[in-house]
Amino acid sequence: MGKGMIIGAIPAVILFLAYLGYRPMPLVVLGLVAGAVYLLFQSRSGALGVGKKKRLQRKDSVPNISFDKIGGQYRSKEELKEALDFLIHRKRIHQYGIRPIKGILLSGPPGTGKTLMAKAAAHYTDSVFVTTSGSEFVEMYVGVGAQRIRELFQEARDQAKKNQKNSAIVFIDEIDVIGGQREGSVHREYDQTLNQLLTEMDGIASDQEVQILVVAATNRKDMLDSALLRPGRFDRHISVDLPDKKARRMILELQTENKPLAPDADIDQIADETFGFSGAQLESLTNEAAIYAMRDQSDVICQRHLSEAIDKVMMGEKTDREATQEERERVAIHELGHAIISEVVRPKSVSQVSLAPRGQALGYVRHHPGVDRYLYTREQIEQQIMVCLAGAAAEEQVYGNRSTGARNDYEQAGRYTRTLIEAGLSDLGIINKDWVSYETLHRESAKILKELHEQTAQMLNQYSEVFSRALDLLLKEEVLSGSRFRELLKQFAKKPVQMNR
Amino acid sequence: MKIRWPVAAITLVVTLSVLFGGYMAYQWFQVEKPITETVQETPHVSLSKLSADPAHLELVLKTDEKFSVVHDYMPLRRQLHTVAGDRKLSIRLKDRPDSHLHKAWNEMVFGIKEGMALRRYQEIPKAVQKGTEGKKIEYEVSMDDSYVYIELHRGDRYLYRILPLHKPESEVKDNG
Repeated sequence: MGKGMIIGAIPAVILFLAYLGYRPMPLVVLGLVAGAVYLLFQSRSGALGVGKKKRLQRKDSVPNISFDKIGGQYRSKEELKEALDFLIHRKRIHQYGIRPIKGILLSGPPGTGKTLMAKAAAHYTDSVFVTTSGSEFVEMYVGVGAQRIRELFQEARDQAKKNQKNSAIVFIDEIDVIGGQREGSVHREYDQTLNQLLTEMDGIASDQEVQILVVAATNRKDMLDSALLRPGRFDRHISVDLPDKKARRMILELQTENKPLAPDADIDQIADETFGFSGAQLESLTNEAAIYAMRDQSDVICQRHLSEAIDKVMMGEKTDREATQEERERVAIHELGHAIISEVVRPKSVSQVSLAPRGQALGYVRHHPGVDRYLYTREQIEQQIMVCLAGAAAEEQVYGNRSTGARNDYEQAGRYTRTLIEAGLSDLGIINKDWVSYETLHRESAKILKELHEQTAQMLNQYSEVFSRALDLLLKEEVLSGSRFRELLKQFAKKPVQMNR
Repeated sequence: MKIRWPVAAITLVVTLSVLFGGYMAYQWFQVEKPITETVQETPHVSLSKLSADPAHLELVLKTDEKFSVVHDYMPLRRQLHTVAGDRKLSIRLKDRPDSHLHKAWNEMVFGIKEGMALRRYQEIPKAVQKGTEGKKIEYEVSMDDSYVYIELHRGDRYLYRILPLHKPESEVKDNG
């Protein structure tokens, strides 16, 4: 409106002045210069603060996602919803004398749906929703970060007043950029930004009219400043964890809703096999499966596509590395070793044995984790270590020597022994690792590994027949499914014999 | 921001009409009306044409034989100047000469010009007197800071000459 009027009025005034006998050129030139200067200032608004950045996103621009569309995370969702309810039912919380929650911190590993939850929160309440991310406060000019925080909160308040709402939600993604710990005497620029955020959230001059709820997301909660984490700032810390099996199944179901799934596709099994996958990885899995199906020109996504997609997400795409026959054989023996021991210590745990190089691995055995497990006994860890050592042990048994292919296995085995020792499950008893020398630790670790290696070798001995039989099959087919492998194992396993050493 | 062109067009029209309308009104009330009134109040003269633009004010005055440049024109001009303000004022007097008056003027103009050029202003009345002698022409001569005024009357015919002292390039008035 205003711009149109100015554009209409300026030529009229110029015409009139020209009629009066003033020459309009100087005025026009002056106007052009003023316009150019204004534009210049605006383009460097960060530095000079002339034009404000349009950080405010309307609610309509936030994708329409409801809490129902987020798989799993029941507790986190409930917690978040409750905090949002405080914005909706203000009278009721007043009745109970509840101080409204100032901030919610969503923390958790990458890809678990923190941002997704914020999107859902945007639609859940009838509040003004303002979103930004930590990196938006980073600029080459000093003081801009603090200014942006002020602007952000001001915008939220203004917008709320304009829309006649009495609450606003400010969502700051990746808050660790600005919320890092203030330490030492070095004054950093981010400190100013953080200080401004702290005062805006719970300062003396906090606005009572418009209630602002700050929702922040981070995957580095340990890095955040303690002042930010205290009650009154971020009152609620909601950790968004990796999904458990039930949640994984729900996520997979949600993600495959719009995809043609074959009747044989078993979501339950996929959920079983994807322990440790985040929501984003599961999404990627379904996507890759669909891509595989399209590549195969299959009308539906079959179990095989999903299974391949798991491998792809876990290990990376198949590579073209051409190995020599001898190397392939060695890899096959190695993987079979892993698979046999895995099957022996935990029956039905092998899901796939593959000889196709993927990512960095030349071959791999995909395990079936069974139930989601968060606690382990000594025996269970020892079994894990044995599975790790089995590859090299198998090579030793067949070729009489080992290769560098077992390096990763040893590293992993080392991690397990360390867990064993640190958790007080080893023969050293309960120890404080700071007070024990590395040598002692190493000795204990070596002892454990040696014992387990011997056990593993002994076990493998019973299955020497399996090696020769399964080797041909594996070399030919490249992939052995878990059930096929179990058949072979049953068929060719010798009766246990005690070795004399 | 999106520019609303209809708004711009309406604003243009409205602004133009306000500015020009205001200016026209000012012109009428502050310039044309006082000038017309002033001229009407002066005897033996009427306004034949008035054109005004922001920089110029041009008047054509019609006179009768009783109008005297020396007695009537000089105060009128002063009054018009105050109304005109900063604008350049040009006034044309319509006289009614005949061949006798022209002839007399043609004779006396040499003396007058010489007197003005040499700044011997006493020569001017002498030249006029000499040019009108024995021709039944009444005359009147006068001068002020800027002009020399000469009027010749013969019966109902009359001739006015107003010669600028300092601008020799516009000495002769075009009487149309």
